[in-house]
Amino acid sequence: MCVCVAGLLRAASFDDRVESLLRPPMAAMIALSPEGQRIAYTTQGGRHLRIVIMDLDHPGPKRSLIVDPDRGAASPPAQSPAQLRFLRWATAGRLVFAPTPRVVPLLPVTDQTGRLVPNPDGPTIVSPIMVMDADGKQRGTLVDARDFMETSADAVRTLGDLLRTPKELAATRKEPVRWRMPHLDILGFVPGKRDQLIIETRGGYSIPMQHSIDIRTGSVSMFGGNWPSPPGEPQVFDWYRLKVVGERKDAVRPTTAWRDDELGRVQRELELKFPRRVVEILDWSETRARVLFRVTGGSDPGRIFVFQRPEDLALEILRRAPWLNASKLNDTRFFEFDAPDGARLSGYLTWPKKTRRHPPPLLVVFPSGFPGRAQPAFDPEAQVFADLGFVVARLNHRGVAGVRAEDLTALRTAVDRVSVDDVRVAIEWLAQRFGDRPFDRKRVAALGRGFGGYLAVRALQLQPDVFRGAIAIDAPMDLRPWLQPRQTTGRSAPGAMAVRDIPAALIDHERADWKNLSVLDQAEALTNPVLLLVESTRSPAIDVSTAELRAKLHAFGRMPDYIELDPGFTAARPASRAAVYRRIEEFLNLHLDNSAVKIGPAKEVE
Amino acid sequence: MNTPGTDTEDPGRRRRMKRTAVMTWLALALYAGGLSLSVEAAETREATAAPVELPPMMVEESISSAPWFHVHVGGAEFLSRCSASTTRQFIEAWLTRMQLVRVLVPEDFLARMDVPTVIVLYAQDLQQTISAEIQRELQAGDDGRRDGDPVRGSRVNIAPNMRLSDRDMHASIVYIDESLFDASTLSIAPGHVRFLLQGRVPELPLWLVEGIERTWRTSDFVLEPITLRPLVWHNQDESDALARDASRPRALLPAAELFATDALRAAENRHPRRAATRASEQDLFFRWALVSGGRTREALWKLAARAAEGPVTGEVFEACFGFDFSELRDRLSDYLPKAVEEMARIQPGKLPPLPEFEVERATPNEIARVRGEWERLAIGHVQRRLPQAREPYIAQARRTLRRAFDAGDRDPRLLATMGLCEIDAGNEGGAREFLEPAIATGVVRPRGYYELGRLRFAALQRGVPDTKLFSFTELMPILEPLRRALTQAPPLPEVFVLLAEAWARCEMAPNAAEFAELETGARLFARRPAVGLSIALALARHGRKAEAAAILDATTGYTTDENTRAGITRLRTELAAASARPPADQLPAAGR
Repeated sequence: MCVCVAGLLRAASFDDRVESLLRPPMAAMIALSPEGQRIAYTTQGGRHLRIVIMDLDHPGPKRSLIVDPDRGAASPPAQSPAQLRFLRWATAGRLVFAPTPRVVPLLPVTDQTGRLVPNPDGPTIVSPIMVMDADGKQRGTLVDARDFMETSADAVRTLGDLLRTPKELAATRKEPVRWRMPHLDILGFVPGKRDQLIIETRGGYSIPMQHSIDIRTGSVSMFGGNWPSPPGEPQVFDWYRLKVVGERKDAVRPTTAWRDDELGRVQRELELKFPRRVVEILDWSETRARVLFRVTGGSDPGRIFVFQRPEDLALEILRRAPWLNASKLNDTRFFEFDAPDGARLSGYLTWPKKTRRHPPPLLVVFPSGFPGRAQPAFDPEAQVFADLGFVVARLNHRGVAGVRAEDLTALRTAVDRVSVDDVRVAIEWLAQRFGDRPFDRKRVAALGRGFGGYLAVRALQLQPDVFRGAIAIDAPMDLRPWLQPRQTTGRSAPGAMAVRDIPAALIDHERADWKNLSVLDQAEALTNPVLLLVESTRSPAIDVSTAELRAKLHAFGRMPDYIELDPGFTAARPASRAAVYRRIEEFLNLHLDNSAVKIGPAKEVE
Repeated sequence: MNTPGTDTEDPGRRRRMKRTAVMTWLALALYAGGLSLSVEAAETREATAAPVELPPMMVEESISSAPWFHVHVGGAEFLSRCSASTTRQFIEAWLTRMQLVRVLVPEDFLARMDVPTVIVLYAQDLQQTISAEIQRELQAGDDGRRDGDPVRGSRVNIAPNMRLSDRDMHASIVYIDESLFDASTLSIAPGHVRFLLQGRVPELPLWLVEGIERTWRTSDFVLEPITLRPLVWHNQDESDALARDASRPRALLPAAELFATDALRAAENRHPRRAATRASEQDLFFRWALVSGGRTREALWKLAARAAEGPVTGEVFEACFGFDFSELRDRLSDYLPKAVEEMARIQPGKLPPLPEFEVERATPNEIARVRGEWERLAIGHVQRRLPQAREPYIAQARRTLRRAFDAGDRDPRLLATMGLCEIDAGNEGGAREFLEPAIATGVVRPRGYYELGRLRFAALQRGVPDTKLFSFTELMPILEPLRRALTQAPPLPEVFVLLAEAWARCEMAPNAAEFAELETGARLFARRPAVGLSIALALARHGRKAEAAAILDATTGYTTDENTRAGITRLRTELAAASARPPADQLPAAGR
């Protein structure tokens, strides 16, 4: 009985831990006021997105506002909270923000023949541009797409019609008046008159037009200028000087190539203050005396600071995940080194705070694409596995910052072998480099999603002496049908394809040796335990190849473990994730913890 | 040694303790606040135009019939004119509090002095803190300089309690009101803790000394030793706000700036908020390392030892703590709301029993020697603070010491003090007659050896050109006492400087052991470029150019005066030029 209670408590505590690790971090969007005294940032609480305002010079209670208060009650539980597309301070005391627009199609209408046809009006676009005062006293919608609703040109017959709203116009007509709502693009504030917001309407009946909105009164006037649209990522835009000042680069670690000397200098200063961390400048005050920046890396999920340049002080504004106790996070460190062939290999290593055995086993995580994006500095899943007692190595592929010309031939011929070989080299290097924090070389498992899952299983086939088990999540066991989906007949729903972060041409070319790349075709080489996790119907290629692999292994008497994933896993719902992580733990404990690793039939779990 | 542990208090208990602690601190100010009032504190007061504080002068034996007691225990000599029981209570309290100092700061990080500390206890009810002679002298001076002279009435105070220090020892005088005396309320003043830290060799970095001192100021060593009261971050309002809201914005210096070298600190931004942040964060770091206990505390002292010998780099820090600079900043930031909220207890563990001692009537020798030592120390202080009042202090010290000497006392300790007294009085010519016999008998007095070596070297150089080299035999009388000084604690930087200067004038090169001795000096006083320069000059003079260059490199990051900086630059240039030239035997022969 005691054991049961202890087990339940442990399970509950594990579920809580997974929930806290997966909770979205704060300040996905954040803005510094023009004089640098205040910040506004977003945070998700339950089903709501909130904006929080903080005074930096006189910190007191923070003010917060639910962005879309009606959303929680009206929307289904699974729906994610609203998101913002714009958050900036217009003036020292007034914040302008805009939720991501919602486009709501109107119901079909019946035509003269009685058939249902698409509605000629609309759709309804909900695209409010809102304001909030720093003191929270005034807030509301400044304008919305409905304020710019347009009627078709043939509905305007008189000079007076030009002055009528579509609603007024409809009231004067017996026949229906057609209408459309435009999209509203926010272009910025007029320099020197920051209470004037410039927007552009597009997608109505008329050509794109620019308008000036007084953020104090909400009054709209035509704007004669031809205001440029601010570029989006990866460009960094200076909203005060109205120019591009830098560009974000997705290298091994995120960097910014600054075109602005002053910001470049600030970047270097900050990097000296935060060695071995990634420093990203996010915003700045009008004079640049204060600079808002984010620091990530190490074991920390990230913190936001304001660099007060006159004082040479970095003011810590917030931890992005304050609900996580930093002292309980597992130590994570970035590493990079040159492989024997000169390729730069890199990744993150997470050590468990508490180990169940010494030395602890190693779990190697392959990236989900190729060369894919660089691994993030903080990864909740790595923390979960480290909590379970594993050293977790998350590796970047060679070429993540740009594929070398000399690697191309090898990658086109055998991308699987190159990747698995790199991991083997990395394991050797890590064992030597961190000799004081050893892992068990006899207990190494591989894990991956999508293409990474494929590599994890290939690692088991190619290096059975190195890897004692593999976990593949939504992974193709045969690359050809996965990369050539049209040739596959499947039962999946349209649009349910998993995203492939891989340049297909690298593998899918006329000289591709598909048999050599296939897990399926070399199933007999799969002698170590494997756990396959699949959310069926997302990808026919994955479903089919997984079923075939299971059948083949069954025939060899080595039935792999299999778990059917529910949609909550992909959506990162904590309960779903926690349940799966527990199953993964059971799998790893069963196959790694025993001194004699069992290979052979294992129970099928559904 | 017992490993002290820590725990934290419940809030209600904290509040109660806070109230009591304040009362205790007031009590301390009344009874023993000046137990070891530092000279530095007095200097601070002068800077704010406060009255000049002069050391108290004890009245002549003939005037008071109260007996003197003497105790030599725990590295200190106590000379007391309080009752035997008060003396015993005071000494026991002193020894216990010093044990607590060592709980907080391991012995290795405190000044080690082979010359016993002198503590003079004086009963306040004797009502005579200043001798009649000095009163007369001051009065005369006052009468003669009515206008604009600082030696006037309210401008001069006699400090009731004071600590004075020399290069190799220190002494304190404490006036005690025996009717109110309660030894349990005694505490060691933060200034004294600072003195003990600053006297450590190799020298501790400023961030550590200041951090420990500030932590000490807010710690309770009396009611529930050792209790660290909630940290004050910048000021009480800010601390309270942080305690209420752990997510309140706060600025911390990055670790690289927290552990910056003296030179970097001298050049850093002087904004008051940054200075306040530094002061608070030094306290926070020490408290965090202490309260975290176990391996973190060990890592702190490992880091302290490394920091005393060179700059703290990220690699050095990580080798000690196992995580990097950025992680430290985060940990300190996360610990801050807890530090301003909670009291932390450092369990002293089981302290070793106090050494046995007897409170005995002092002999005339003991009275003269210990009193004379205090009075000698007063000369230097008065010279710095109020030169015009110096003469009566000199006369008083000479009188006291002479009394024993004239009675036939030739105790080497007495002789050494008399020699140093003459030097402090400006009578260098008269010092050798006392120092020579004292040193000949192997007295424990590092400064005595240094002064004798210095006087002998000055005599040797008198009337000869600066470029003249001396034979080893000629220099032996200088080198010998200096090398003996190095066998006693504390090692003095001036001994190494003089040793290096002597070797630089020697025709013969030092042997391996003697070179190693010089290099030890460079290591022990890495934070003093002037010492490094002298040693580098000696090494370069005898062909050890690589070693000389390495010593100069080690001075980087430490502040120094213009002359030393120029000297370092000059020597660097010479060394670089020498290394660029091929060795003489590889030069093409002229005319070939």
